[in-house]
Amino acid sequence: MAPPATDAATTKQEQQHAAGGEGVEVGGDLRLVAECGTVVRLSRSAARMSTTLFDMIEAGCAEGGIPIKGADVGTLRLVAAYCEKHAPHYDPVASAARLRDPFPPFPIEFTPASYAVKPVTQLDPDPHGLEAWDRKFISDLPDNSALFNLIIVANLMAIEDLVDLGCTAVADKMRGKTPDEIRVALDIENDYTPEQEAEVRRENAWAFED
Amino acid sequence: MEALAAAPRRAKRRKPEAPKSPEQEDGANISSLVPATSAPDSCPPGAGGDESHIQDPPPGAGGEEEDGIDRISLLPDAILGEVISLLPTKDAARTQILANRWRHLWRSAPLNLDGRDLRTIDVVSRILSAHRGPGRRFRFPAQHLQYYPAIVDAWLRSPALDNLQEIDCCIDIYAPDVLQAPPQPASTFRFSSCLCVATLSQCHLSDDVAQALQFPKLKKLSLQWVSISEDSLHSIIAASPVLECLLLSTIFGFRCVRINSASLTSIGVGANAGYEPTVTFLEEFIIEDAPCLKRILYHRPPQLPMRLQVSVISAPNLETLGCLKYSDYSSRLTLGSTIIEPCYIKEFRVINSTPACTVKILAINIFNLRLDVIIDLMRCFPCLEKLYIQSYEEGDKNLWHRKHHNLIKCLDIRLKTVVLNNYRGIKSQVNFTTFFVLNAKMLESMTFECQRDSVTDRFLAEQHQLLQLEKRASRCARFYFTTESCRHEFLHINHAHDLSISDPFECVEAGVGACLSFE
Repeated sequence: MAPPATDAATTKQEQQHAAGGEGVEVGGDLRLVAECGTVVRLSRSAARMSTTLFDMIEAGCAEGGIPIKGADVGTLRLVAAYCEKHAPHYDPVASAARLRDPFPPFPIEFTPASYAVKPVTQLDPDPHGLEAWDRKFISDLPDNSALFNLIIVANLMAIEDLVDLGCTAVADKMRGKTPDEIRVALDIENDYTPEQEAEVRRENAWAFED
Repeated sequence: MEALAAAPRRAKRRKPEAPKSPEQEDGANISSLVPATSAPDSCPPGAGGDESHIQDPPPGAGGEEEDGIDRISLLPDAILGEVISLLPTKDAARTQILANRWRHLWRSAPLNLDGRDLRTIDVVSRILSAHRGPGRRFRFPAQHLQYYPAIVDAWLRSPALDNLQEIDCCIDIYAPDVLQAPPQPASTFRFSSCLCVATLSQCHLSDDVAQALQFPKLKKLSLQWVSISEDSLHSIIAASPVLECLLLSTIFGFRCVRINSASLTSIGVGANAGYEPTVTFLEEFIIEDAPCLKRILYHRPPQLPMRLQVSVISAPNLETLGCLKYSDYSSRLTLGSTIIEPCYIKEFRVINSTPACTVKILAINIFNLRLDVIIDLMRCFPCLEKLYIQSYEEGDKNLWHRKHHNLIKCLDIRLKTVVLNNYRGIKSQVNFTTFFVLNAKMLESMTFECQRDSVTDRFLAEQHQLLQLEKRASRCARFYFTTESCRHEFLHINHAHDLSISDPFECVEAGVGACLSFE
């Protein structure tokens, strides 16, 4: 497979992909174009995580620049970083059949103390370090907007796992908080009139009981 | 543009900007907008480079300035609906009051309804009539089937629950009336093609309903205090091609179940010894063919003994077993031709013919802490890496130097982690422990769960000496003395979901305490 005549830096990458790919994948990285025109590159194996891109690759129309409408370059790079990290361990079947559990299975109150000790060897907790990486990925986001933009772009590109991760992060910011606290945490403006608000409360009195 | 202007804040990160690459798309003149960042790199921007660049999220990531504008409203309804469906029922309903945008979201977000938290069944009915659906998860106390069967049936028919993924008829009271198990409404099974997780309790599953079912998406199934026939249970398992976790605890209607499943990874078994002479309890579990099975876990009612036989004929990937308990009378675990039987005098009678080399995690509950018994068990599982021991009394002196002198030479102890509950530092426990300290060459940690007041500095210093930690066989081993004990006999299974935890014996509560460790 002769690498296309682009800059030398991609050659090694393409040879890697050619060697590791399914045999049919030719060509180099995908080129995603942000709203401002900047190009963000994404390897083909990472692009599989986006159903949209995957379909385009299959249909043979993934050459050239792929504009991602409304995506700023920062968010696009974050999305690309996520996909590249998860791509080696991505299983589309497992991802499609993922189960999300809204409630923790066993109510154990763990009170942190000054010496928190944990036996070491675990057989398969987060074997590729992906969960830890995801946690850091989310906590490193500078602000809420970054998180929301991430979800929007991931949704646009149909990257289900990343959409899930983002939604879970937002839900985590809301869980256990009063409506006022949520509004502060997520910059939501209360545009209800007092009458409207009272009406919502009345209709759903059971939810506002305690 | 805002996004690029924000980039300088993160200039210290490694990612170079676009203009370094010669193949710019479009005519957009990027270079004037992008600030100079770190040294130019021949690798292309974005994440197309080699692994070392991928670890850090790029600079200026999504960075709009923090200006207090309500940006969450930019998310589409479907996404906000997903977020809402991840919240507990009341929290989710309260989102309606956040702002106008949110007013109608809850009613069309996938419904996550926990009827256990709500005060009356009227509230559940009201929610279901107001909600448009689809349903995601519905939980309610199983005893409603007994007292309000018509209402439960109406709930299950509600369009608000269409496409339900998880149903949870949870047990609230223990030891319900076995002879009067109400029928599980047939309306439950209108979800059979979309259910992923199902918990059914305190009910009767009739043959004509059960045997007609297919569960193409069911991954986790829990049946507790359920009356069902042998054919029906086999039929349900066979009709669940992607079933991973199965909890069968206190099933009545027949004696023995044969498990054949190509997908099952974890099974929970329990047989609450019943005293009803007219009722047959499921007490024998034969794992005939389970190529993916990793865990066999005993689901134990608190403090009560169980009577059950578990035979494993073919489970070549079995890794985790437990918690086997000394007081399970007339019980037996058979792995191939190896037999482990709780036994009054000897704690466990072990006949070891075919060591199971895949088992890595074992939990044991014995009355007297006897090293001989533990060694017998270790020989059944030569590749054991984690051992959890709950014990109560001393029993044996556990002197081993002479007795097991020859054994030590040929026994290759692969244990990495040992957890010993109820540790008081008394002679027999010390002797027991030194066997591992001095002979387990691959040991990484030993944890002693003690009483809160007993872990004083003096106690720790004493143990340091008594346990001969200076002479330990594994130099990197750490020894932890915790002040909280596991109060669940190492078994934290409450629900089918818990069966997918890789080490269900690890107790989060018992993770507190002082620590003696050596470099």
